[in-house]
Amino acid sequence: MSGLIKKKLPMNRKLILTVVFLLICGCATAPTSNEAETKVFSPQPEANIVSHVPIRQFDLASIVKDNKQPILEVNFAKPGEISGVSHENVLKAFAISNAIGILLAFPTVGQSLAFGPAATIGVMVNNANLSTVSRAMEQTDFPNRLKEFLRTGISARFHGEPSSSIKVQLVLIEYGIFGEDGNVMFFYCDGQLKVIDSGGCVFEDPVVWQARKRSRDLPPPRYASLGGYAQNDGELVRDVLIEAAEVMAAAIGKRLEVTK
Amino acid sequence: MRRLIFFLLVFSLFFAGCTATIEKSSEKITPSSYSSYTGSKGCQIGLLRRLLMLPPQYIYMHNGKRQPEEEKIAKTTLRKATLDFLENFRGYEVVIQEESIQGPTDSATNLLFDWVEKGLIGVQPPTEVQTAVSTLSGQNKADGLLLVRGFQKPPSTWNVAAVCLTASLSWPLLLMEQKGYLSADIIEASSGRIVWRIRSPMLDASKPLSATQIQELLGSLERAVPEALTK
Repeated sequence: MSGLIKKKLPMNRKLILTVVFLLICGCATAPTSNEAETKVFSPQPEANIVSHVPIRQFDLASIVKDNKQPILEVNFAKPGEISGVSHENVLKAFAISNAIGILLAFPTVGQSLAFGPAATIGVMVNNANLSTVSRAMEQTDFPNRLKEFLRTGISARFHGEPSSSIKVQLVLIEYGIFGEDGNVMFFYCDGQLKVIDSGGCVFEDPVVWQARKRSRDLPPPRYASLGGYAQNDGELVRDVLIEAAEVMAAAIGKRLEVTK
Repeated sequence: MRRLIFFLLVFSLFFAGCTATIEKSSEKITPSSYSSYTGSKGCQIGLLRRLLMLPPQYIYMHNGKRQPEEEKIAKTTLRKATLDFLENFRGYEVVIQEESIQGPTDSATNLLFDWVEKGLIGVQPPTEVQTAVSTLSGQNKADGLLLVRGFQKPPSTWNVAAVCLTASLSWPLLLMEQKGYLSADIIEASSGRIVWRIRSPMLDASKPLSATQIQELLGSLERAVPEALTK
């Protein structure tokens, strides 16, 4: 075909072909919706209903005295993890889908075996993606980012030296990226916010951020595939974690501030 | 070779007509329900986090006549699926404007649907449109107005019968006859300008409107800024 274009077609025909080709390319690259989101979205609205966990407010300023800042603590029970998706899960899902596809398309064992290397490459890509996502999550250090954002918010409200008597504590029970067979993944976090005054807990409120259940002041999660999260050396993982830390810190800041 | 070029041209034009077109204003967006956004991430349309959804408009034509029952079902799907997707997946706060039979709200709604039909992205609207926008958005403390509409014309009964009788040879008639599109526009409440628009043709107008089609229509809309990052 390309040889034909080179030898026989005059310039204007080449131009037409180029325009046609570009038009087709334009169609192929037309904006489409997020594929992972399409998989999560149910045509039945009842299935998409999110359970909102109510939030409470506490006036932190009412207990902070002598121009001192509260102490800030972000603890986590276990480090962030990628759950719901494992190397085995990915391997199993990939093997099953491949086996079905191959059996339908090529009935003989000999032909099926020809696709062995392709399946192996697929598994290797998935494993590499999982490693990239894990590495990006580790590098981003979500608890520390969250603490930084919380510190900025508290420093803007309270000045002076940190006081040892008042402590704002956030315990991250679990956080990470949850996925189902590597197709649909999202950031999740479960925590407990506490305000401690002279050793006694004066305020306690859960921080829930899951796909179908979340605190009223937190936005919906961002869905993407494992490949999407792993792209550009885990760029989306970093984006999502930093954004989550910023939003969560702002939401906590608002819970500890009663506007009059 | 001419045939090949002709085929490619027809093929590409056919698919060019099947793609969605998205337009977005590049000018600064001003929300009305809050005074400032404190997040570090740049946002544009997502700043209009509280949207008032006007009663959707939907025309369903079959055998040369409008079908009120089908239109009612499609409007309900549009309302429910839009609310569901924007709230649970994009983080918008959506307020639904109820449909009135005849009244000032109804005429304002019609005026705005006329405006999004003719108006260009980012252009300052006429005074009466601005008044309608501020009346509707003011009542609901909305940052923006969302207008969703659609048109659907499935193949006529005669053509379906013709395809059956000609053993599917006349299928191009079906393809040529059926038409459909969905569109959504967002108007900024503070200025009345259209700031976001999508027009998407329906690939198969013979099927009833589904929630998935609405999700695909609004899938390219950016996420709303979280309430926590507003003051």
